[in-house]
Amino acid sequence: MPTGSMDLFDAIYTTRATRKLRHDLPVPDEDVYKILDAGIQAANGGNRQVWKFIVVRDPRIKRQLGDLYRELVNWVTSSNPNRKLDSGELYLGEHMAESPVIIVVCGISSGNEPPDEATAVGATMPAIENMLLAARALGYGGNISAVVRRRQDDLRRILGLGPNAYAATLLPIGVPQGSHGLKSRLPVEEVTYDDTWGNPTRLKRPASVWKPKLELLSEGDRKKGRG
Amino acid sequence: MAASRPEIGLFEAIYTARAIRKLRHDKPVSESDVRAIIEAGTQATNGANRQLWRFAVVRDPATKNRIGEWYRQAALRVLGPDDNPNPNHIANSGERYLQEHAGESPVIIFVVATPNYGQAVGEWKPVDAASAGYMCLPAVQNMLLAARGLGLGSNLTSAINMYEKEVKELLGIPDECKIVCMLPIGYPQGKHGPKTRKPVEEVTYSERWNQAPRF
Repeated sequence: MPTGSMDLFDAIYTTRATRKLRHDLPVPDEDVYKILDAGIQAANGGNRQVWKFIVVRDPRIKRQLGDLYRELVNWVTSSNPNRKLDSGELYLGEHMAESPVIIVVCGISSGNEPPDEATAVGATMPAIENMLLAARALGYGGNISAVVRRRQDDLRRILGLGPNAYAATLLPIGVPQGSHGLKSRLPVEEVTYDDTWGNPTRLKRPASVWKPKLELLSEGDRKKGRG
Repeated sequence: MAASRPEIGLFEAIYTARAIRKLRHDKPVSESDVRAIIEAGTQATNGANRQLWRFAVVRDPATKNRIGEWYRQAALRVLGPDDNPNPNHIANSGERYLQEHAGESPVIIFVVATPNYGQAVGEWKPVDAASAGYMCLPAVQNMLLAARGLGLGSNLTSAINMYEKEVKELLGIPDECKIVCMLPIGYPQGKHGPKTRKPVEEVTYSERWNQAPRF
């Protein structure tokens, strides 16, 4: 039973984008608060904290967000044959509205116009990572469903966004249908250079590298013999 | 170094990973810690798992010196000189310290975003450098948490981008890449600790904009 206390590196290594959520299990207010509170601890420029969060539980609003999201998932599928969506992404395309809670993450400006995409998303991405880590530690999963940001007018209408707000992403959150586990990532050696670009790093995998505890591995991880 | 890393709770790290600008210059940062910080970065969430992040680890003192000089100029432009400070950004002592000493950080990691060329089919545009840049920010947050977890200090600074062209040339970073931020890393002179933030209630709405949260 998750109690919310979890080792930092266990959380970092096993927080996966989770799109298949249990529709029947709620996310209590207390946990939503903890997730948001973790989010706002994140790095942000000049501590200006130019973020706002809308916690959506109302089924009618979730329905509208879900319809918008489905439209955009269909657009992605039809406009780019090379971008194959995985089963989780397709699932969420159909079931966004049934997420127990959807947190809409917005960037705000100090004026009367919304910030541009790069500014708003840049200001909120560190917070979003903290939120996903916190959700994981509390026994939930979530993911960044950002494609809706192309439709600011629709989001403004559905959510009544203020004139200074840009909706950066939806974060549907809930108890995962499956489980968290390990992720596949390029190793450090392939993405790191020493002193100059192209100069291969001398960093080696050390003896004290993080090793996952058995109970944190998903079924899939165990079958693949990972960890 | 111990074979097993000391454990720190996720929430303890989240709540006490402050921006640390005053670093100890006398205490080196181990290779395995640098690697652990980068690896934590690579575990972050990212769209379509494109992994557009790259990391340039700078330890060479001459290189750090030049970067430090550019950083000093950039910081002065943001903060204003001591005798004519910027009223819109009152500098704290940490910011002034970093202005003068960034080049002396034991290690500086540049987080660099590479644009993604592989997807230009029909209307589907490749991920441009600016977008690639903010896609790397979850990695940066993980790196800050990992540094904290290892007892190290860092801070997310992008003022160096006033000299992005010069830094790219110095480090050989390709034109089409974007410097996301500079992370000076070292042991803190002071301590980690809690941050001041507006409470959740002040930044959250329920269901629609301007509707008070029910917390």
